[in-house]
Amino acid sequence: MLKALWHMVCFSSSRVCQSVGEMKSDNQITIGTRCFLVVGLLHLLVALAGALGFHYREGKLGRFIDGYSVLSGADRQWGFFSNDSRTENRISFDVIDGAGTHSQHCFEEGANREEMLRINDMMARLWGMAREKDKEKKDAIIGSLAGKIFARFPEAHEITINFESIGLPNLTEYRAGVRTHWTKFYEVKYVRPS
Amino acid sequence: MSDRVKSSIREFFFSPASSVPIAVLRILLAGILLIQAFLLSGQMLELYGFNGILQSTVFSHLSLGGYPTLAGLQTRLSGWGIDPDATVRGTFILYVTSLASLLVGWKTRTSTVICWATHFLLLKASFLSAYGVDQFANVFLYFLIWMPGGQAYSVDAGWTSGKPSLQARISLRFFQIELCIIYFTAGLFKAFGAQWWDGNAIWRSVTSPIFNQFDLTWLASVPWFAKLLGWSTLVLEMGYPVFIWVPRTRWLWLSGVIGLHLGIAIFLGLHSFAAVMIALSLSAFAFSPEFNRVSKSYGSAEMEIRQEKKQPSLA
Repeated sequence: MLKALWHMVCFSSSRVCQSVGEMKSDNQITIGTRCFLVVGLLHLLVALAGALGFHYREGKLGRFIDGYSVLSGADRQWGFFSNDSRTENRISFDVIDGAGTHSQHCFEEGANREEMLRINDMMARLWGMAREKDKEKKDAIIGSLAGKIFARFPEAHEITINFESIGLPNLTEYRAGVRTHWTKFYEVKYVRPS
Repeated sequence: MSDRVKSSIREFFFSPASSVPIAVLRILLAGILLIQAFLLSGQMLELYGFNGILQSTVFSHLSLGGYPTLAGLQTRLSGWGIDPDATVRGTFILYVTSLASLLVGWKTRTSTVICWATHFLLLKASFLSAYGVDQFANVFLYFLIWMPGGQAYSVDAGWTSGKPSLQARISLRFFQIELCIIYFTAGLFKAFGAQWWDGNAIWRSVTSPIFNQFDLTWLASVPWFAKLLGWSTLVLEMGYPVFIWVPRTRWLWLSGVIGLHLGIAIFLGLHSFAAVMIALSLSAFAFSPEFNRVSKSYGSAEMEIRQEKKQPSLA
């Protein structure tokens, strides 16, 4: 019985070895494969450097690596939710029509979850840009938003764009009674030219 | 270098592998991005258009890095009398069509190139609104250009599981290593912040008005639980490049990572992001032939095929 079992093991292992041997001969490691391997390893190196926040942009080689990294996504850092000082912002707007009726809106209105996340991200980043000292850039961004709001609300006579940031209490603060609140950082009024 | 090390490297990078994991990546990624495109189609012009929420007048103030952009394409084509909105619609339709083609694996390589290029244009057009899922899509669509994505379960391959190949092995290894880099660095950067150690990162995420889906304020009364979740995330992410390779811990880690992303989908409402992350880990490590029981049956089937092939020569 044991002898039969031993013969079976020997036979199957020799078959496996034979099979692996064949597979290797069928798939020769050609120069093309070696090039593919080298390029792939270089890509991983660039991706690792990008993920760790190292970017080389000096000279022609640096510009090439930088361009390649952007196109392939190898320049990305992946520390989602890693920033301690992450703040959340929103941009809302008050609309006053010709009859003097007030209403409050935001760009996320009527959007599904996927759209909402994107618009929210856009607003948060625009909010950050609106804080910049570059007045021309700031005016272009806010003016563009105002134009969009007037286009969306043709009956609007006056609009106020509100830039707010959130105050999120931490675990200890929440237990002490502090609650989430929005703080207005900046507001700007536009009146539709008659 | 000793023969043992050489042979290990050879086995790791050069033993032919099935294209099934890459086909799974192709199908899952294309499927998720198609659903996402459908969800975004209603706001397409608002997000990507010349007169969208971010209007063309703002673009001149933003640094776009000199790469091909949808705004550039719109400007160029408008010179030929093509409406900028029509350019956005055309690019979006091309993107969706290439995704559908990628899903079924028809003209896979060409579809992947078109899909990656159109995705890149849309990504750059909406870079202010892009988030994790877009970045991952960009990276892995680029990977798929070089991978033999159409060699299994595709129109190109006649819906068969395909033959093992060296290209599939090398591609799979690069895909797996890239995923390990992503998880490890994600964990590493989180670990630098105190909030992941004291539970506040979890707390802030689930109570943020932007992400919160349920009232989880009760976490404040069980802070150790928030801390435990934070630590578990760090262990899962930083341990990924080690424990996902160890046969004994592979399924534990895979389950943990899937659980983490399911949690992100349910409690933070980041559905497409979570779906892409689950798809990446599943295709990289759950379908790899050497990793599971499927592999054993696959391996034996492969041997049978080889033996069958050998028969005529023996005869």
